[in-house]
Amino acid sequence: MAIIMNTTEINSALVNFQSSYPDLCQLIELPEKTCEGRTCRALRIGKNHNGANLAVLIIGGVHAREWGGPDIVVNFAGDLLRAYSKGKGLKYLKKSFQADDIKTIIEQRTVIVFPCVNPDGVEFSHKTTHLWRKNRNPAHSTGNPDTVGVDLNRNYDFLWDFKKFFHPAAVQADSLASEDPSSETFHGPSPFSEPEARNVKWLMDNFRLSLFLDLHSYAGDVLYTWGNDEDQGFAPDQNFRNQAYDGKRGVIGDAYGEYIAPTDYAITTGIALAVSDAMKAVRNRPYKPLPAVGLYPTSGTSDDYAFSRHIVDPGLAKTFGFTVEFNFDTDTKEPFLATASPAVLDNTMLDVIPGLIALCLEASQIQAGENWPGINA
Amino acid sequence: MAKKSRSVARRASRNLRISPDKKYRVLVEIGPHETSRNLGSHQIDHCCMPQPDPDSTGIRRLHGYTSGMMVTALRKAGRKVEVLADANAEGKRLQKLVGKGDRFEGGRLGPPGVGMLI
Repeated sequence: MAIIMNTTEINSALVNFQSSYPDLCQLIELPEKTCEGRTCRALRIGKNHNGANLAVLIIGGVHAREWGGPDIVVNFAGDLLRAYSKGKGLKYLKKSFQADDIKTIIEQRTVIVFPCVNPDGVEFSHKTTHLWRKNRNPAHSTGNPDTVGVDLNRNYDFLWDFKKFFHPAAVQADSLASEDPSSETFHGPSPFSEPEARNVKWLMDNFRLSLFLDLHSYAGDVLYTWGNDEDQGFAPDQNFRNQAYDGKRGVIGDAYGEYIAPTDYAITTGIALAVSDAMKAVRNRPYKPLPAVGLYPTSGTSDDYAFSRHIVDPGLAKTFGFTVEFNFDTDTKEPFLATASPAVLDNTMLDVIPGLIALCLEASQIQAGENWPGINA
Repeated sequence: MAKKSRSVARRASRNLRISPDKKYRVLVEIGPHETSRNLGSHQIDHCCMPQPDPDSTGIRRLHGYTSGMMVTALRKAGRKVEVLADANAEGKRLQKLVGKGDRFEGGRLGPPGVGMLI
């Protein structure tokens, strides 16, 4: 049975993949060291990588206490490489992928995995304060240990200045984001103030991404764009760049909704359904697709930032962004740490890895273009 | 059977002796038009946690973590707080289950994999 990997083991696993499958993958040392000086590594997977390939980026270990995310990402990479090198498919209880599926991903796609975005926080959660969520940046702590750290998933440059962009009623909910360093959702002093978030941005800047997925826990959802407000496809002027709506976003059921083109909505919901169906197929756990705002309205998150990039700069590839919230509020006493139990970790990986493989297969369809007419819109 | 075990566990948890410095997983009752910010300085950490639906009167039970000191303060302020678990005790137990050292020996070995090859 699997045991949660510590941060050293996460790195060693990636090193092993590169040395075992040198023709299929390559380690990427990311440019920014963490606040505690750790070097972060990602792995690029794909036999025929070239700059023209649309890529899939999958990240984990952003929120330190959400144990199991890095293990899922590492084992997803390992399974793909192992199966391809033996010319085999993969089976996860009741969900199977044929050898041709794996071949398509390895030979026709570029997949980048960044299993542990926040190694400082993960290490701190493993060894000291198990419920630690943020990174370990002490810059805003004023000496109080409770005020160390920034919530990396509120630090992206998407409606980051929440007090300006969101309705006062939405600002009341501290899940949106916070300016208080003692809050679990402290968004930092500026967008991309944190090296860990800048590493993710670097990957987005240096690969042409079609799909992005950020692994979190635990709500049993596959979340799709948008997270700041409800999706709507009829009023293009209601969008995150329109200053006329500053101060009006983030209230469910009111007049404002965030615009998403109907073709893009069809694509993003279709992919979310394919991912959740693959996860559900394993052993019938009730994973479901949901607009990200359905969890609660958020500011500065990775998935919204990923999708917003091509709108802000039409020269960039359109990147559909997702967040998977793995596992559920089961009868465990510590839901964030449920995967510390080897049996739960095994089952969680069995559930989630098929969703990641399904995501990569959807990317194949996006690149083919013909099944997704909105992709080049 | 599982349901019965859970309810027994919950009853036991409610009877926990609250220590001010420890963290607890709790349910805090809030009114129909309230958010966690209405709890003032009594911070509840509830991010990424699914929340129970409100009851028929709109009252919600906010699911989150807080310190024992806050549990006492919230109760003194008239809030109904149900303590579900001593998070510290669970955390310490679970931290012992994290991998030790480097089982992959710097990359000489790798994880065995999850999916069955077919």
